[in-house]
Amino acid sequence: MCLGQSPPHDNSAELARQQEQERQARITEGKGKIDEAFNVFDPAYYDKFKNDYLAYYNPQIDKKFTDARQDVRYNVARRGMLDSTSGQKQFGDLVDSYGENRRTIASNAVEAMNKLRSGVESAKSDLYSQNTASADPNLSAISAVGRAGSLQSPPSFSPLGDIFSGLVNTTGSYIAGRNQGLPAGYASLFQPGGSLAKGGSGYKVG
Amino acid sequence: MCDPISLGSLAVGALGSGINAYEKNQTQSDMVSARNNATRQEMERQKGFSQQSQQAFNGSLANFTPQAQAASLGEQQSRMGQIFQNNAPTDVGGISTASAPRIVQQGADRATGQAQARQGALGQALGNLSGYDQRTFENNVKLNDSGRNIDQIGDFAKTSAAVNGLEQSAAYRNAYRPPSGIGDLLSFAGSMGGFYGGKGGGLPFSNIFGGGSIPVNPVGAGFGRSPFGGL
Repeated sequence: MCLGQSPPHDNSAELARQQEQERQARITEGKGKIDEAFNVFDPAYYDKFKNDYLAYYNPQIDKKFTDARQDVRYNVARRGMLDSTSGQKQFGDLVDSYGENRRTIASNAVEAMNKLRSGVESAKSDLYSQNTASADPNLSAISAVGRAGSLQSPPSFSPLGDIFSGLVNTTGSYIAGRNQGLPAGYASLFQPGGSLAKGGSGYKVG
Repeated sequence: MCDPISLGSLAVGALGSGINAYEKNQTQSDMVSARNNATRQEMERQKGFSQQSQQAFNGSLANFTPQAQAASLGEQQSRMGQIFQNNAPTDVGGISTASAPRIVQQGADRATGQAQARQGALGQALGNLSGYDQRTFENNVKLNDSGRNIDQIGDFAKTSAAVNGLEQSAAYRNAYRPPSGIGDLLSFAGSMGGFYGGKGGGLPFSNIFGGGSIPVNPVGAGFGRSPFGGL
């Protein structure tokens, strides 16, 4: 007699729940490994990147400023205005332009730093997605280290162009214009055969 | 129908049917209860996920209170201002000669000093302006971070709910208990008793086991056969 015999126990759900719990544990573990791999991208890392950026561009600006200052000096000296307030005004404009360019570089450094940080965050998000999809912490760890390594590769940066040429040319033109209005006695100095035309500025500069 | 055997058989048959109905109802109730328990357990799990998500969301929301945003803006403006001011030119030199008239030299010094002061002020002004963008950027980074966490909790919740579908079905099936058979036996006994009472005595199995005469139904020849098909 088979009265009262129960059907076989269905444990498929228990197996599925166990698998899901294991999957969640793997994802949590994988997340921990990703976070650990990305710990390298801390504020100090981005600060260093910004300083490296500035260290690349600032010397270029500084060199260009030095050259431009020399050009201004020659320009005003050639016209006998080196120690004039007009020459000083030209130099003041150059200093303003120099400062503006340094601010632009700093602003670009911040922008580049944010771009780098966005890329890092994007990569981290991708890894989180991959971790969830694969639920395999070992794979995620390998991938995280690979991505973290590639993110540290240096990007290429373009050198600066001739940023002060406009100002120097303008200074030259300005002084040439001023020359037109000089008193006859001074203007004659710049004419062919004049004393300054023969022997250069006559000032020791630089 | 009023003889004790018929009445007793009726009662036994009714008891058998009652037991059957009771067992069926009990089993049905257990199955539904098991499914409800599985659902309740999942609801508890989902509640936990919901609390985790809520916690992450509240963290994000706390970042957007007017006070937090004002503090963040101030911090970023100060930080940006410092970056721009620190990158301002420090030594710009000059173009005057040592033999320049004093008034020119003083003018040059004044112009350079003013230019330096302008650099500092402009650096802070640009920092104040950039602070807004930087605060938005920082907000987005934090939002992205909490979004990742909430996405993961959402994945856990979604998958758990999917597994619970299986759990509910399995709990429902596993709670099934087959009838004990007592009800069926009693019903059968009741039927037999009724038959015995109806024919006016004599065991209905006598023909099966080879003893006694086969009762003949006076109404029709077809009913004169054994209840088991004429064995």
